[in-house]
Amino acid sequence: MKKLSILLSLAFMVCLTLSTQAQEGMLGKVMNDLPKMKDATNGGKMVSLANFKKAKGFILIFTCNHCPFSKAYEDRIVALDKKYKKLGYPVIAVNPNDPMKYPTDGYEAMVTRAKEKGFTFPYLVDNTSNTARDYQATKTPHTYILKKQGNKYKVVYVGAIDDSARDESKISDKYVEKAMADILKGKNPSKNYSRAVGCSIKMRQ
Amino acid sequence: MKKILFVLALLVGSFAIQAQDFKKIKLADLDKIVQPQGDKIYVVNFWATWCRPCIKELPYFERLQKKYADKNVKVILLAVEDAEQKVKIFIKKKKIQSQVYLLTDAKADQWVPKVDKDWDGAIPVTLFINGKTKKREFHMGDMTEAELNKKVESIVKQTK
Repeated sequence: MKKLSILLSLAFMVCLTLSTQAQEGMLGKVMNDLPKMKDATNGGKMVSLANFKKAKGFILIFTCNHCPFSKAYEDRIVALDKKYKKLGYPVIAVNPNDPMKYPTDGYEAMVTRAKEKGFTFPYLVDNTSNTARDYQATKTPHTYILKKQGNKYKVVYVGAIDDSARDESKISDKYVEKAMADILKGKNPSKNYSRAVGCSIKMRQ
Repeated sequence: MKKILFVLALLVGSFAIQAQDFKKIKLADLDKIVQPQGDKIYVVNFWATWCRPCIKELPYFERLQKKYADKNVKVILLAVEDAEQKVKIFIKKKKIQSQVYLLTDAKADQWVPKVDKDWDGAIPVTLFINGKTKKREFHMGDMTEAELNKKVESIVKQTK
């Protein structure tokens, strides 16, 4: 009972922060490891950040199957993983959507999509949507760059991948690549927050 | 004043008979929409044809516009989409009657904070502006028809 009330009050606090703070408020926050989540690219193996012992950080992307903006970014997300995994910053994709609301966001559909698109990174099922809540993610895709500090992870960038979701020929600012260039030089990203249109996350209740 | 209102209502009415077309707007026009000078109640909904929850709630806004036309409520459906043709086909097919704008040539990182500083771009969202008091309320996420009507009803009451 005590545990339950602690959990409830924690959940309440999370709700409070969610409603009073913009996602920009996530910048600089030091996060614990993600919970172990089922990986749709790896036969359902349970994965968290701790599995990547050599990583210096992560490009954590909340994304999903159903959202046209997420689909438009799939190839670019694969490219980011290929480029930055070898530099110590692999991509971790997390799908927080409730498959009751969007059936194409269920586990089996995630497995199929990951295969079709050749995902080179884990595609994890956030089966409580609490990871999205912890990161105050509101939409897909929603990107966070994390820097590893011991067994904690500091949020150094929040926002979009670039400034043209649907038309790659109109990209004028590659936010994540610019931020990564700064990070790899040991600097803080000069632009650490960006906004973009995206699909609202339908959280599991 | 009453006469003007009557003429306005007539005008709104006559627009409603024809199929609505959309107007393309640029970044500078957005300021005028989210900070209107008039004294109506403005309901500005941000949507896109690819956004399922947006499409689901569009009929609520359409009925709202009809229901409150005589109460000086102006519904604006602001499409944030790069495929102009899709918007065109959609509003024709669905016979959308409310004012539709399409924002073009603008980067989200620039225009999104103009609408609300805490918004990061997830749609649907709806901005309610009371033109008389200039009070703004920003609703993130979708709404039921009851929630939408209740919200507008409460703003109508404020202005009385």
